[in-house]
Amino acid sequence: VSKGDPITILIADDDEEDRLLTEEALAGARLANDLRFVVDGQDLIDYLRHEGKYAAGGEAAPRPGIILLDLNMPKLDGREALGMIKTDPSLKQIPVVVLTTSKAEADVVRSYELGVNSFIVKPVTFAGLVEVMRGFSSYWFEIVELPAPVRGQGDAHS
Amino acid sequence: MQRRQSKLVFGIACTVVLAMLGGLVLVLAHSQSNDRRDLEERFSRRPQVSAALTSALFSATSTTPEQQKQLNRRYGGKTVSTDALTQDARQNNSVFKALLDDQGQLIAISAGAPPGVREELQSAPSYVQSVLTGQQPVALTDFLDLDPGGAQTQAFAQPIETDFGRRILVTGFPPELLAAFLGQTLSKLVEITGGQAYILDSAGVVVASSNPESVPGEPVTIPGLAQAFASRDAGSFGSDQYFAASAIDNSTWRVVATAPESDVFASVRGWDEWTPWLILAAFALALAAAFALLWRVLRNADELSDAHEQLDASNRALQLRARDLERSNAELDQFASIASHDLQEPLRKVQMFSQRVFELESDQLSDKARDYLQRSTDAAGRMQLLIEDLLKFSRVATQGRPFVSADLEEVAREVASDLEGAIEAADATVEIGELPRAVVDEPQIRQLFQNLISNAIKFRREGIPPVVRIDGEVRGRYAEIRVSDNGIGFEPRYASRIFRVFERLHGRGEYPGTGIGLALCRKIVERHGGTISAESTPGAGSTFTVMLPRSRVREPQFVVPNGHPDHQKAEPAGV
Repeated sequence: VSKGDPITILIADDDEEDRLLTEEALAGARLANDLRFVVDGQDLIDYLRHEGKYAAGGEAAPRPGIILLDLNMPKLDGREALGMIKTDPSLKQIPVVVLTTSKAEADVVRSYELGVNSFIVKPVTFAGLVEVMRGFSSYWFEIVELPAPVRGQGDAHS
Repeated sequence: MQRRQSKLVFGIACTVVLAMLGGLVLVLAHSQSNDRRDLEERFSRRPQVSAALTSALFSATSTTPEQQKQLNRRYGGKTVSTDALTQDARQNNSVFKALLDDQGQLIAISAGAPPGVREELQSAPSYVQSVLTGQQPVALTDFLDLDPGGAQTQAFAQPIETDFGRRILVTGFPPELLAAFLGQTLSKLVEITGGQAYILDSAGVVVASSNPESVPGEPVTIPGLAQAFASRDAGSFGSDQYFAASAIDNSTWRVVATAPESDVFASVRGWDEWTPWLILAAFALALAAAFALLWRVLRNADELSDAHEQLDASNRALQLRARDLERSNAELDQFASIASHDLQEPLRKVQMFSQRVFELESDQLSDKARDYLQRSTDAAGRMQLLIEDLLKFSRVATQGRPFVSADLEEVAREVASDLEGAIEAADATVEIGELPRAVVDEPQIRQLFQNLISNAIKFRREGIPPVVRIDGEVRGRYAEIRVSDNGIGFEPRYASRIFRVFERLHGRGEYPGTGIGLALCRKIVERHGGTISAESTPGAGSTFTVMLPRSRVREPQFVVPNGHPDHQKAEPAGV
């Protein structure tokens, strides 16, 4: 897996501005990956399981290589979605990185208990966010070895 | 429940004992009255015997055959001479003697008889009639007033069976005659000291008496006796006198014996009468005292159990209230954390997008626009600080940690080392002396030291390197900690205001801050059950004095079993 491979980054965040800022920060970090956005926990699960609007014939939902997850979201929040992903045999290999404004220790502990791969607190400044995104990409796409995408559902759409 | 039972038992015991006492009283009274009755009977037997003897004496004069023969010889003839009657009357000192025939008609009368005798006998008096008809063997009468101006006379009627039918011999006795004769026997009748005996006729006139003060033929003069014996056969009369009377058969007379009551009933009177009662009374008093004592004990037990109940009730109320507070604290905490997240989110955006504008459009912005943009970013930053501080403030009570014994000096040194950057930047010196130990919520005390030291450095005098001195000592139950500086100080009248939330003495331009720092200190100290105060000389420095209890008298927080788990929630150290 190298930088050139089209790894899809799936970003789950209910806040439109945060999605925008994250996208810009990733661009600022010169990441050229395929970015996909979902707006809440339910949307995330639908995307991953190709259900709802992502069902066959609907919107494309390429299987993500990594998920950036906000914790506080409507409908199904990040904690619940995380629990579902990490107990689903077909999804639990996908690394999940929590990116949230919450500094509460309970959230950190709970997330790792549920099987999160990293927990990042959103920086207050944009420069900080860019810095975090740079570190994120360097770690996950250059240092870490990721599992090969599971063939099947993800490729069916391509 | 227990209380009711003990009262019931007490009541039953009281009733039983009262019944026993009542029984004792009855038994005692009964035995005493039995004793008295025995004595009464024994006393009244004396006049009974005397009356019987007296009656027999008179009957014997005419009922024996010997007597009848003798009387018949003298008065049984066809004619009876007045002389014989006169002679007989004189011979036995009679007032008169008269003989009546079987029709009650006067046959003869002794010479010198009082003038009223003839009339009296011709009126067929009842005593003559009853002997004539055989109703009585003989008859004795009350004193008859037969001699106006003279002495009284008693009449004695006795039958004589003759060939001409039953004749009646009536003898009149002068008062002295029988009095002397009967008086001798009477004086033997009453052996009791002070006792007397009388023979009285139905009108209460003395026939005979052992009492020399009583004159035969005169009404009895003993106070109260005449009235008493007219209505009763025995009883008390006068002052401390007792009498018993017994009628003498065939007469209108009665034998009356009197004696001082105290002598008659000596064995059931005075000490002999009262001693058992006194013992009983003493016993009853002792019992009453015992019951009073028992009652007090019971009542005290009641009060104690009442107090217990009240204590239980208020404990329960407190626990309920504690649970309520616990819940509302948890809700408040939850609200605070949600509010902090949701309130900070927009601020973060304002700052980030402002920065984006700076970065992307810096060239196109005028100086003025840049200034405005900078100001709005700063304002957003201040707002964020404010929210964070408020959050800290609200969490002092809701997110406290367990109290542990801590070396305050060590805590102060650690805080000073955490603040090294700020201390160096301000060219400040922090001196820490000996501080006592205390049982505290350590992270909060850390926060307290941090706020006080930061405060001291922040309000430094321009051009003078700040010196912060922390020392303390044990003062009774308290650990006293003083944080003094050489800063700008404040007017003494603000000494209490500075601990209020949002209270500021200086413009934000001069000294930054949210106005929560010292309020937070006060809240932390108060949660520990301590006090914080400040004094200052403006322009010379301030001293903040904190008094912390050295040990927990009671847990200041409401610790409820199965309390909200939020209490274990940890706040990152060093906030």
